[in-house]
Amino acid sequence: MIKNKKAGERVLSIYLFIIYIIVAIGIVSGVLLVYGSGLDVREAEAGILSDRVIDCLTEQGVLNESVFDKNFNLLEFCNFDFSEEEYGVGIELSDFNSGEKLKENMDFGRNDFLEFCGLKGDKIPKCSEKEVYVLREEELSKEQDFSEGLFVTDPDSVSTEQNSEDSLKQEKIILKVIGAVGKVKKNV
Amino acid sequence: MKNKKANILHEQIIFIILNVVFFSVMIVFIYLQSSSTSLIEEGTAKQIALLIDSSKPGTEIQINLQDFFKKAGENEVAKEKSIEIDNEKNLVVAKAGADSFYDYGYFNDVNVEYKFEEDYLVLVVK
Repeated sequence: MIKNKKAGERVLSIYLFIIYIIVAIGIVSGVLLVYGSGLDVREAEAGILSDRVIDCLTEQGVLNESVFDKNFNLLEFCNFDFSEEEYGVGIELSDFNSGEKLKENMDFGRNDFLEFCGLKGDKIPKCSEKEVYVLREEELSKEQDFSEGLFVTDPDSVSTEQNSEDSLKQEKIILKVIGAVGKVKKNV
Repeated sequence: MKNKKANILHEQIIFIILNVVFFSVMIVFIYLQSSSTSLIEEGTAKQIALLIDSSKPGTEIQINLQDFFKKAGENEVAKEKSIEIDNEKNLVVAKAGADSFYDYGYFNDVNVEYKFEEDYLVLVVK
């Protein structure tokens, strides 16, 4: 009886060590998963990129007219360097009321990254989409006088400020900016 | 009877000691992983790069890198050589270990001047 009891205790101690090993494997795996996966800051970086673009293209809520130029280059205008080829920016301009596009969509940098927006996954570029409502101001020349009724076509979308020196026509525009960051190897 | 009680006591003591050793090893392992050099290098480089990206010319930023400088000091890396900002390549390089470093790029094409003031890294974005 005593022998069986001692043998029983030895068998129990083996199970004890097995449990220790399982617990140790679990803790080590968990720690390596948390600390070994790296710090993924791409979403924050894409958000910063979108914010910087909006900030660059607008001033006090008014859109810079340069964006409508045929050869508008965002990288030169906003002083960005995409030579690392890990960034992409998409810009869309549309009328606030009708939704009509005011200019063809513009892409800068890696426009292929923009296709991954909305998809889930770690090893794909991360995006940040931001939409803001801005004003576009157009100067009316003195020949385009208020007496012609120019300013009242749609009271909701156009407003004018009467000023004998210079007149401004304001349009409401939706500016949508999509910023995308690759850098998969550095973040995953 | 006495021998039996003594045996039980010995077994319990050994069991407790083994448990203490086991959990101590686990805690030390977790601590070493969380304060590893590569992790702090990566965190610091990315932090600085994102700050540069979100800054406009004329901005001055002071970042407290006390933990980073302490780690670099432990690995005999001079403070002045622990952070490097390459304006040509738009790269932030963080070095807290003698044989390791981590670099991270930024998209804001500005000229960044930096200096070390005690536990702070001062960036001037131009």
